[in-house]
Amino acid sequence: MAKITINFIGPWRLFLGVRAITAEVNNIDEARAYVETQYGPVYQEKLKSRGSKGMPSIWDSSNILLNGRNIKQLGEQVLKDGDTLDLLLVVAGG
Amino acid sequence: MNGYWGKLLLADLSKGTLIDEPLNERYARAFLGSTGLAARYLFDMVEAKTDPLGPDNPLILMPGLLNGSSGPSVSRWGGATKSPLTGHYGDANAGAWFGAELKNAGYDGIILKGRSAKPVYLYIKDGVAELRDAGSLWGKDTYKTQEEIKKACKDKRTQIACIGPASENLVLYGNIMSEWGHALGRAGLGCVMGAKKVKAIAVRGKMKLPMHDQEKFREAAQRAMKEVKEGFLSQWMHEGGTASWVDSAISYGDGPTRYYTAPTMPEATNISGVTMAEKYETGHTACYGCPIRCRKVLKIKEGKYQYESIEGPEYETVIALGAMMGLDLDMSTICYLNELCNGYGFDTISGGASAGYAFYLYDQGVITDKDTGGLKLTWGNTDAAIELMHLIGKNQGFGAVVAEGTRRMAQRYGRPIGETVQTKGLELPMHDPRAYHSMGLVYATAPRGADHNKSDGYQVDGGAGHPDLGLNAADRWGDAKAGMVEKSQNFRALTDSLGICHFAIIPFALIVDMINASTGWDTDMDQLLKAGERIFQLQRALSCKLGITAKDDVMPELAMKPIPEGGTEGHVPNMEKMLPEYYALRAWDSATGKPSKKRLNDLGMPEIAAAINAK
Repeated sequence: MAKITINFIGPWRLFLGVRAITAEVNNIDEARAYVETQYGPVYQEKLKSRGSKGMPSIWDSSNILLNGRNIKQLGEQVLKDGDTLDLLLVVAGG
Repeated sequence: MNGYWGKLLLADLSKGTLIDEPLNERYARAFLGSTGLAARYLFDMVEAKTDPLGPDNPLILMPGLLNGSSGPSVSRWGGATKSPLTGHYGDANAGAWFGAELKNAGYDGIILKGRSAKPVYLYIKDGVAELRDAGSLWGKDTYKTQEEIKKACKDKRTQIACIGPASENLVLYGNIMSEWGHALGRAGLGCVMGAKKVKAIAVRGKMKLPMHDQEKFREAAQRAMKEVKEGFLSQWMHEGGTASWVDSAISYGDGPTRYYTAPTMPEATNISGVTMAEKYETGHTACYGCPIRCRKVLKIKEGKYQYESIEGPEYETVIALGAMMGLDLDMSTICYLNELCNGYGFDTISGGASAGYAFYLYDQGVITDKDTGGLKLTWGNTDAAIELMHLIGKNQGFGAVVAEGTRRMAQRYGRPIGETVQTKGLELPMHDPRAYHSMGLVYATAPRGADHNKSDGYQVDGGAGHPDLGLNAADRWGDAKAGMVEKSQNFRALTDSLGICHFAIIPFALIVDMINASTGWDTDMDQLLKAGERIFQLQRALSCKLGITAKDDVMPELAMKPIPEGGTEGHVPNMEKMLPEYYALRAWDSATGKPSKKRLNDLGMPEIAAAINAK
């Protein structure tokens, strides 16, 4: 099990009221499951309550960076102590 | 002519005359509105030798085609001129309410020519225009100016686009301000207005624009409104505003810091849109007809500068006036800096970037206290930054040097031009090309110079591109970007000319329905996207006419130096691969940079091809 930091960035932080947490997980799938269990319902509720459609999943609406790299560009990753996951929205400002 | 009034207001300021000029319908059909249509008119009116601050350089302001209608988020309007900052094509785009009011006042646009002998402002009400004395307004900031004109017009709903002391003093990136902080920001359009001694344009209109099918328009607009209200991007923009990107910028390394020499500073989170929402927000404001309401109203009761009610700054301003100079700011001070720049009326992007370059030169020992008049421009010196903004606004002392922009600053001090982070003379906005490689291509090829809105490549690679455009998010550090950039530039040229805000994701079918119902055209999205390409290539052709060549499509060396730490992880865009691929797609000549004759003919512009001697 790796002790990692999960950062909630930008609107994630705004919705959940949390900046960062630590979690002990083995890999990214477990990290996702952890976030989904602990924070998913709050996130979904806030998203639904504002009438968002077409992107019901928290993962559909987010990018995940592992130590700064988007996991979509990485292969299978085994997490290690001190790793950081950043959860960011798939939007950008002007 | 449905969807248009069929007339422009032509103001000859040298003669003091105002004439209604018939709208060129062929131009309107091909170039639509706002910056697209303005660029077409400008093409006919300027030459390479036209002095940007002389009477022969026109300033053309036009609403978007859909401005003033009940469509959602269709408030964007724009302007074009020969830029005093860059010396070639310049345009700018703004929101708020001015464009809609101008359309409802009975005009498809305004052309300012000549130069007034004394300060004036233009007043338009329901199709009738007059020039009024602005002697008592000259010297006033943009807020006071708007307040006094509204009083004089006895109508608080009068919308005003005005300049502040910066443009009166001919700061080369002086802008045109409207409402509380909405700016035709880039390229020095305000400076041109100041050179013409036009303080403001005030409009009030209740006229009903003729439409081909009012009922069909209403139906399409209502459906579009629902789509925008429920849209994912809309929601996030409402919650966090553009400045909510600051926190992501820190992660991605997207926010230039210490003039492009350091990773994005984490302290910027203290002035992000999320911090605004968490601690200071009391409400929102909106542009005309926009359900997104992305602008934040803040109450700040701590810090040196306190505000009962103030509109919060946007992302570009937060970085340009903060991290760019290495400033660790609180919300109070960034709001103050924003108000300062808005009040003086100069572009926060070019202003912040030029100030950042001054800090860089100071850090490098190129300039000293003797050059700066005693200002100690050490990274993070907020007091010095504030004083410098005042001096820029007044175009005085060392501020007069910075007011000329980074390219002229480098020339003054004998510095290598690659040290100035600008393309074609326009300072880069606050999306670092090392964070999103597509932006290297975007900045190098944008017709007016570095422009993050003619293609929001970072938006696409961030996963938030328009779904109907069919552009999927890709590796932000990849180099297969030419096709995406070309397509999104065409799309943004189109939406700018229609007046649609970038944050409103309106399905293509509904855009088509609204346009056809408004104008009676039988268009479709393919034709509209072709219009977007036509507009982009026209603007490119105009830049070429005014002296731009392929040599100018380069990225500045300083912004191409890798930063190993932080979110960019040492990556830099591969321009050697991306640029030739892009040129091939655009059919641009590798030496002259001109679009090919065939491409211009295919886009219905044989006269443009002939005018620039395209091959």
